[in-house]
Amino acid sequence: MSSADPATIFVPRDSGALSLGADGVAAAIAAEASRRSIAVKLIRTGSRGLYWLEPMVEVEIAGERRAYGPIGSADVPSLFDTGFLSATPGGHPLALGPAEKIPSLARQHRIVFARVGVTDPLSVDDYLAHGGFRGLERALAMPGAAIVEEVVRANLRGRGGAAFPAGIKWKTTLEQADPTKYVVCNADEGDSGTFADRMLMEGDPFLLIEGMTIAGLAVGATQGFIYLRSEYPHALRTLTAAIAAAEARGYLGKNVIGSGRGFTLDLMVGAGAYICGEETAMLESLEGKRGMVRYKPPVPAVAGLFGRPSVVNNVLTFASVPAIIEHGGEAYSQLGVGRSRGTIPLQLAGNVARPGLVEVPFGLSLRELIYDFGGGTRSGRPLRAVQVGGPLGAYFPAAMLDLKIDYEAFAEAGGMLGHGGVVVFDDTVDLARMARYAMEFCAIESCGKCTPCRIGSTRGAELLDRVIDKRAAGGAELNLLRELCDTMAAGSLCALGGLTPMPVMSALRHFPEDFGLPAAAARP
Amino acid sequence: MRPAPLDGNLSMDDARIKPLARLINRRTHAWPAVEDCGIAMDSSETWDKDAVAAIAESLKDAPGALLRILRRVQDDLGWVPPPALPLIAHTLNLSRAEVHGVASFYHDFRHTPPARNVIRLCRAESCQALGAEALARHVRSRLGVGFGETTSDREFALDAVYCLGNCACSPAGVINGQLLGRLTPKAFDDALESLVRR
Repeated sequence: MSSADPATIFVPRDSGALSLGADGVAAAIAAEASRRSIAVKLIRTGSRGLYWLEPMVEVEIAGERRAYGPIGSADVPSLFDTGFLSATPGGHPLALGPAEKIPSLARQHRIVFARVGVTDPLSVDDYLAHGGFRGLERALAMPGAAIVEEVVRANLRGRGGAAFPAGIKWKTTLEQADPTKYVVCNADEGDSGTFADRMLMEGDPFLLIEGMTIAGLAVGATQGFIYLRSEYPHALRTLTAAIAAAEARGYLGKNVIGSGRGFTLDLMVGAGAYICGEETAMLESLEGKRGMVRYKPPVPAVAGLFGRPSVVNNVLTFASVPAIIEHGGEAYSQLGVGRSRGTIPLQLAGNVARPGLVEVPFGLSLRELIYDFGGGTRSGRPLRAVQVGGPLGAYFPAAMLDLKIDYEAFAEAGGMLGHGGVVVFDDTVDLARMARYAMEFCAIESCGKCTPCRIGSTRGAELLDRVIDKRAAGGAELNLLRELCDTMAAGSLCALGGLTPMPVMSALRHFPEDFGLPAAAARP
Repeated sequence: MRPAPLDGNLSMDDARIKPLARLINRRTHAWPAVEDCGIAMDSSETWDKDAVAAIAESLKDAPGALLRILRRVQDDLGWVPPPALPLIAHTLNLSRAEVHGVASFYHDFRHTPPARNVIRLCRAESCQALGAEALARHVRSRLGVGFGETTSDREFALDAVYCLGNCACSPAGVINGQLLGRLTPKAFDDALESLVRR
């Protein structure tokens, strides 16, 4: 960098960073630079996902990004005082060294999140300079069936929660004769403890656009829809601007990069209903109706949105596709373990010292994730429970932390990986209350179509109230609770009622003492 | 306790159905207008009919038009006034029941005028793991309302929300649209001080 070039400073505009004052930090940097008559170029990025360091400010010097964090507005003058823009900065107490070498980041294997926190999310040129749209360029030269074949070969499984092989869905839609087909992105990331979709949409929206466009080319759809939850206003703003920018540069529209083939994207915002993360409820909602779950079959790949064949995938699934097409499914499939191939963006939250996004190949253990990446509990108290997979995921005790991040391993252990959310609790947690919360949440969010979910969840919350009231007595309530959970698991129409028993029964199985039973008695 | 069943021979003069029956047009048997159905409309509950009509007209041909219209009405007006539903139904050629069904299904749609300040607190697991319940107790006593309630002077409304996607910065909340992270009772009070609309 010549001395005439203004220094480049990066401040996140990710909503997590904003919730901690990133806008104030950016304003303070601009004001301080102006006061000192120093020319700076301020770029707003997504977040690297190291949230305990947010707001994290980076400065690019001689091609290297140096990080500082967590920075408050009040720290900004001292950053300038220590010469953080010079080639030889004087050492600030919040200096973190080169961003890429921060241990929690250096140990990750980022494919989907490679650009998040690095690039300007709304600059097509920045996206191109960091390898963007190469998958799309390649896909434009391939027949649809060949694209689908790569996705099948990659063994890419749906990252939304159900882990269904994406290639099979795509293949089914490709085979439908209907001339009108749709590509639908489920961006209704309602699972508590998860935020990877949000980070990606705010930090690298072109990747999602590219992935969906490739899906359109693969199955023969020219219209895509993104169903975004209303709790994500920043993602909405970024996605809206990114779609307009992609259209302006010819990456979306009637003639994608001069290929003569068209793909357009429409964005729809939900209205606060967890159930609309269930794919058929989401389709109903996209059609403007109540978000009521549909009976399957027919599956959406055959008769989905407005009755047309539709590819429905989660944000992270689509965002995994460009790299698969660019480098081949085989390369992607080299990563991972067992039938879980590729990388998974895990989201570490709750009572943990270093919360954030961890993208790694499948196969990491929960212990490595929580201690090596997360640094143990934030409170410093012993870890007692971990919930994996959102509000419908199982609670595991500290003794089960050697469980590997792998769809099949989790299923075998009576849990699920879901959308990759991991919430840590210390020893102050009351698992009977968490079980009650699971039932209450289901009661609040049930669409009401099937009885086990609609009525069962309310009865379950009442039962657990009684259990909590007279913990020492134990008694008939727990047997009733087990029967109720059996009914809900076997008789519900979709995963909401079907999986609510998972957090409840896992809490009862692993933490019987919280339900008034002797510590070992409830173990099978 | 269950209400007494409506048994025996009912007549339109029966005291139990009189209030409703009075509203039914005796000549045409048309149902009463929603405005007349006992949904309280005091003078402060006026709503911008032209704005709703313009929104409905501009979005009526969009795919999934009904939800888009309701969304925009909620965003622009701050609530979905119940008497606006027949107007939307008419524009989309849907029944009032269909429109009511959608408007009442989604948590985001308010059916009473919004408070001047809207506070939302996340009550999901990650936030619970870091003291969301204690924070909720503080906020409830500070504002003097429970979740889903509005203060009688309509200054503050408190809503529960189940995940804001800010789980890495728990506990999380929103004051007047501004997302907040790592909330403590003190941080909440400070934020309230700077974000409150007076």
